[in-house]
Amino acid sequence: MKRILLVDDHSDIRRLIRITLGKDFDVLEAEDGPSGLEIARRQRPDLVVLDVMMPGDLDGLGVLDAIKADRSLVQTRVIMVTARGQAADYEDGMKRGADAYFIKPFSPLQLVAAIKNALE
Amino acid sequence: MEDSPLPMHGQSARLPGSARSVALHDQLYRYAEDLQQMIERNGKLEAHYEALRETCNQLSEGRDELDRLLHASRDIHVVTDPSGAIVQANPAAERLGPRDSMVGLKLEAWVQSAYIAAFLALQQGTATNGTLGDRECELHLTSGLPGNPTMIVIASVIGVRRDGELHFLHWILRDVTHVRESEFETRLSSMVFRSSAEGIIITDVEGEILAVNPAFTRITGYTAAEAIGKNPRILSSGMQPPSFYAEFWRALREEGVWQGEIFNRRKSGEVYPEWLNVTTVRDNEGQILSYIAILSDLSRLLAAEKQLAYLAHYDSLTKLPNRHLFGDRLDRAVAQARRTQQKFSLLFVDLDRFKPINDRFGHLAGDGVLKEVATRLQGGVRESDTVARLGGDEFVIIAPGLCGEAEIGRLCAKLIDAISRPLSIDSHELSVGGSFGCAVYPDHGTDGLDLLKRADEAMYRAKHVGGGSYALFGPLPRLAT
Repeated sequence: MKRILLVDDHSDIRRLIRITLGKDFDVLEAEDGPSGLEIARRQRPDLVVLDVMMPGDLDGLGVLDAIKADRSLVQTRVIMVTARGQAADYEDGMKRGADAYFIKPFSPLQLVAAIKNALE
Repeated sequence: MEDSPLPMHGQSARLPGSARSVALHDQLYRYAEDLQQMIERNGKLEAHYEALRETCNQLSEGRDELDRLLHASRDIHVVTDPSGAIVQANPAAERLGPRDSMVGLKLEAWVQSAYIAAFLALQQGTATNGTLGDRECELHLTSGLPGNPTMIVIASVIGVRRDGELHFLHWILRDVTHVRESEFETRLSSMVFRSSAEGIIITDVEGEILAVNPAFTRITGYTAAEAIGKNPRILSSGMQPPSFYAEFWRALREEGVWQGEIFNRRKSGEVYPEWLNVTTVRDNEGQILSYIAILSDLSRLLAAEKQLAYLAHYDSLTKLPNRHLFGDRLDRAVAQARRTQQKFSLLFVDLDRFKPINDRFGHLAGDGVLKEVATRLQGGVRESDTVARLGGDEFVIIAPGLCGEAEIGRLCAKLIDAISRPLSIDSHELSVGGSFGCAVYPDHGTDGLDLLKRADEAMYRAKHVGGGSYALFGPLPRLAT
């Protein structure tokens, strides 16, 4: 069973996504960038759903860079989710190595499809 | 702290509580929308699923029906792998052998050697090319029935392909053994029908002519085209009484056969005797299908009988009545003379100097002499007289109404003269003479044989004199030349 790490400071959103993923995945959660990165290094998830806008020093893009820079994590799939809906952010994220980018509120159908796609 | 209204350090900040609520609500509404989509999709999927299930059921039933048809089919269906090894066969295949032991064996094993090439060609052609079983060929197989008789089949094969690859070969073998056998029988019957020397008529149950053979045409003069569609009544001579037909049909209906002699009429109008043999043909249920009439033209037979009779009564060399016929004629002459109170004479003729000719010139020359003498004798007598050859060089003449020395003497002298004229046989100049002995009815006897004896005696007296003379029977030997 694949392992998915949800990094989002919004606990309700995390809970929604967890419910949506059902029992098909081993779901981990983190509420900020640093703890997310730490869990990622420890647990080596197959895929990370990463909120872009998080408080603190490390936001989603920072985590993304860190993942991509870390040899042990570079293979991890990353799906960015953000409230910001500007094209530049999208391109930015994709350029930095994200596998998919969703704008909130995301379509759960599409998110699940993107996750499945990224994990194949 | 969660409700801090200002972002910190210009970086992305935690949303204020109310904003988080909004975000959550927005997200939940998004969820509701997606759910609605899912519900719709689900509905369609269920409808689709139902349709598929229905189709599946129909396919399944169709497949079951096909299976039942193949199972019940009297044609042999055999499925083999591409190499020809049997995978499965329908019950009809039991005629080839037990189905259980067939699996794994090559179908080729049942094909007789002369037909293996054709079998392989058909298999190869279908394997490489066609999926349609439009090619077929006739094969002779060795069946598994007792005695392993040959089974003649028409074979066709269909290639079963999945994803373009050949998975199976489906053979259909139709048993035509009986068809071929009855074709052969039909050919035989046809040959017999055509070449028979006796006329054959086939009619339907109403008596309407369906077919006639060439002999029929030879005998009756009617061609097939003229006879077909007509009733055999066209051959009727009118000589059979009405009761004949009643009896004819009764026998035919009750016993199924009739035979006998009748008189028929040819197309030319000639009436001829015929031996007719009629049989009834019935089908498997016992219903009358047709009648078969076989006609023998008896006129030829009668002619043959006449010929035989002729040969029995006439001398083949001289064509004169032989002693048998002479016997008849003599009896008749006696009877007639008795009835009419008329006399008649019997002249016994023996040739002189005949034997030396046979000895010297051979039998053929002798025969030539006899023929010529016969002609000369006949030429010298009246129409009512009979000249017969008794055998060897002996002849006898019956002359009704001839009596009296003078008349008899005149006839004898004339005939002696005729005989003694030179004969030219095979470029030989020959001559014979004749000795005549005469007896008269009723003067010298009233019995034919007696008369003959007396004429014979008289002839010897004439011979004694030296030949070339005649003598009349009498108590006193009367000689004259």
